[in-house]
Amino acid sequence: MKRKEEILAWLDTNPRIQDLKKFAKQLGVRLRKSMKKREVIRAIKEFLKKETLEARSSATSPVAKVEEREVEEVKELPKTYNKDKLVLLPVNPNWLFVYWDMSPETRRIIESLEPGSSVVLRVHDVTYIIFDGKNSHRTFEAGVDVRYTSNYYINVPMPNADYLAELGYKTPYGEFVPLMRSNVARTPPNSPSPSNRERWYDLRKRRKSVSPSKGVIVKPVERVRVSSPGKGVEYSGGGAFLWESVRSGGIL
Amino acid sequence: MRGYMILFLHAHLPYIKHPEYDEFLEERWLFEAMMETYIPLIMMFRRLEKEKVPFKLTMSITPPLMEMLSSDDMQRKFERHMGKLIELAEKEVERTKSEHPKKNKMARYYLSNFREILRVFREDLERDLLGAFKEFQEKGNVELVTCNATHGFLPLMEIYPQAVRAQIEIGVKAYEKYFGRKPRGLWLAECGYFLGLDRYLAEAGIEYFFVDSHAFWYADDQPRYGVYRPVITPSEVFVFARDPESSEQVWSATVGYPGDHRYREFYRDIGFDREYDYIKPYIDPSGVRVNTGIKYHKITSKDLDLSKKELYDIDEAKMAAKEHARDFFYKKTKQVEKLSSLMGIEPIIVAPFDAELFGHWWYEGIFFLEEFIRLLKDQSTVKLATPSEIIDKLDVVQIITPAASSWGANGYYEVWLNGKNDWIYPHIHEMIEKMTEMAKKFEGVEDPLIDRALKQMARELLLAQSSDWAFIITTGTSVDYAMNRVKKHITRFLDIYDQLSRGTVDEEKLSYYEWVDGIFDDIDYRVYLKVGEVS
Repeated sequence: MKRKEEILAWLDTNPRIQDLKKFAKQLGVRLRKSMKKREVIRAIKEFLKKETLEARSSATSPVAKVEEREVEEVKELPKTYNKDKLVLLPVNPNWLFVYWDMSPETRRIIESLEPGSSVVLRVHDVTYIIFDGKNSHRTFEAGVDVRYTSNYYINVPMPNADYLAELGYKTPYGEFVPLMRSNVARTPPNSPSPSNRERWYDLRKRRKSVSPSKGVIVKPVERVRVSSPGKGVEYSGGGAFLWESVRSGGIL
Repeated sequence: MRGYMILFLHAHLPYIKHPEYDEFLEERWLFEAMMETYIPLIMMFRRLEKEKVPFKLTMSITPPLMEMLSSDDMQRKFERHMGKLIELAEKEVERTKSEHPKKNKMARYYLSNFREILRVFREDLERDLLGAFKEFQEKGNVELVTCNATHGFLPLMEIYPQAVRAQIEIGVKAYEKYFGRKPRGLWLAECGYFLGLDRYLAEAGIEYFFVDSHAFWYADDQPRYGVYRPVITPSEVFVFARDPESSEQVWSATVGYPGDHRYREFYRDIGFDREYDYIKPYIDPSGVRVNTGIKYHKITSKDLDLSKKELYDIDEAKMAAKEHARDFFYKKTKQVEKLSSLMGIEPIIVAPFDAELFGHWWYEGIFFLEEFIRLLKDQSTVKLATPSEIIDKLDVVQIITPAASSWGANGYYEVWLNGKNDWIYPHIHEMIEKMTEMAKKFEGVEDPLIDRALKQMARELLLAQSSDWAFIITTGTSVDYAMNRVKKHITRFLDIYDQLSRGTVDEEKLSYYEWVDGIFDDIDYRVYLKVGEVS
């Protein structure tokens, strides 16, 4: 326990029973409801004795929370900017992220839909086309409860494809009425291109040329995602272990 | 049979300057990096120079780091930090006499090392670390490249051309300010690349950038030489891709050199081990225990409980670093031989790392680098080169558009966009729109106060965009701080926006924001007017 001394010092300052219980709970000390202040303190002390060096959580001390150093008040962030907005972002080759915000007018339209209507999100595969509302290669649909949700992660079938989303509603007769349309987002590719051309640039003569590919000379050994039972997914990738420790400055 | 190697160090820390506090926990990130990485790197350059060992390194120093390293305030705080650390090391020298000879040996080592670092900083470098890097750039040993302004993750800004432009242009300007010339190269934060980003780089006069390996592998045409030759994009910017083998050897968690049992254990620090009353003056004033930089234990075995680690011996660790440097040298030689016979043309191996890996995380990493560079001296198979030297010599180059990618976990964007941090983006996007709106509204208006308010809005937006906050929230360390930072920048931005909308700027409040978020003194917010895509 890294701040054992501090906690012991705090216990000596005659804290309120409520604070003691709250803190004990944070620590994970088991208490009975009927416990007196003295008993709670004893239970905390017992618990601390058992703690090892490893328990280095910074969230457990009532004395020195990091946030308490802050003086300027951080306000709640706005929940809406009252604008119609549907934004589509690629996450990886098979996932997109979409979020939306609404103007009061759009909100009113949705609130006053006739019974039997439903709000839906549509995602269109618009790879290499200019979308006119109905010419997409494929269309996917999911129901949305806009009262509780303002974003979705969408699992899409194609890497290296253009997608576009629409948020709208379906009338009781099954007709789709779009209210908002998103930007086009392209999923990143995850396999080598089928292209069999090579383009070259002669920098001295400033001349570009295209020729059929003679094949790749250095073949890549691609990374593969693995998992083994009992081990969680690690957010390492690029910089392996050092990401966490170095990028966060080595602070535990 | 020979080939070139681009040894690249990416030096970056988010803007963690807190003038409103005498001491601030996160400012230690900078002091640790200065003490363990940046100054030791300069010391290494000077040693190599003195002994006439040729070397070529490429480094990115990100704009927030430029701003912090050049700040008088941070320089003074660093000196004070070192002063206290030296005081602690003096106490440790006495205290460890009765504890263990190995600990005492290290305490004495730390004391003389800390004194030397402070002396070099004050006397040799006259506090001007950027100047020291610049000097080695002018001598031709180091090529410095810039980075996008606040290390924002560009693929998630694609829909706002003005935001991409601001990140790039301000990154270029910061470089010009501190290094007195235009940057030839730019390091994309997290190697984050999206289709078309090369056009913005071309527009800003950038000649080359870097991507992760799979950006080449999954490009529009297949690269004939894989990642072992640079390519050029249709908008005529050169691109280098990371060599996966070099990365694996140096920084893999499982098989990389830094995990060797003889190396220093990062997580066992006297900031946590010593009794509270003794260590209190040397940790955070709030009482939160932190790393001090004095560590007596070695990794021993990776799965071992921290309390069971054995005592560290720096001489033993330096031996390990030498062995690893020899191993790396051997592997690079073999790799070059194999590749050049396969390719029939000189392979170019690009090995980029976070600079702070060397010295800060991997304490012996600088010895390793130095040893590796020395080994390269008397042979001609592997030659260090800078990206500029490589592109200046190219005759013919393959034209390729790299694939959208990053060097984060799994290679794409999910580290910076997932269920934990996705709440950031609607705010950032709104800030971009509001920034553009206000820049337009006050275009041509010459009012010093409005100008200051617009500048500050741009600063808050750029600071909120640092990829570091989203990253920290994902990985789960220092989350409170990162969340707070994002929220503060959004709140401060919206506050100024409201003031401007109402037509009354609160000068006192604005001055406070300028003081606490005072990055990029001469920022030009008009870049947010350039909303069109590059043609």
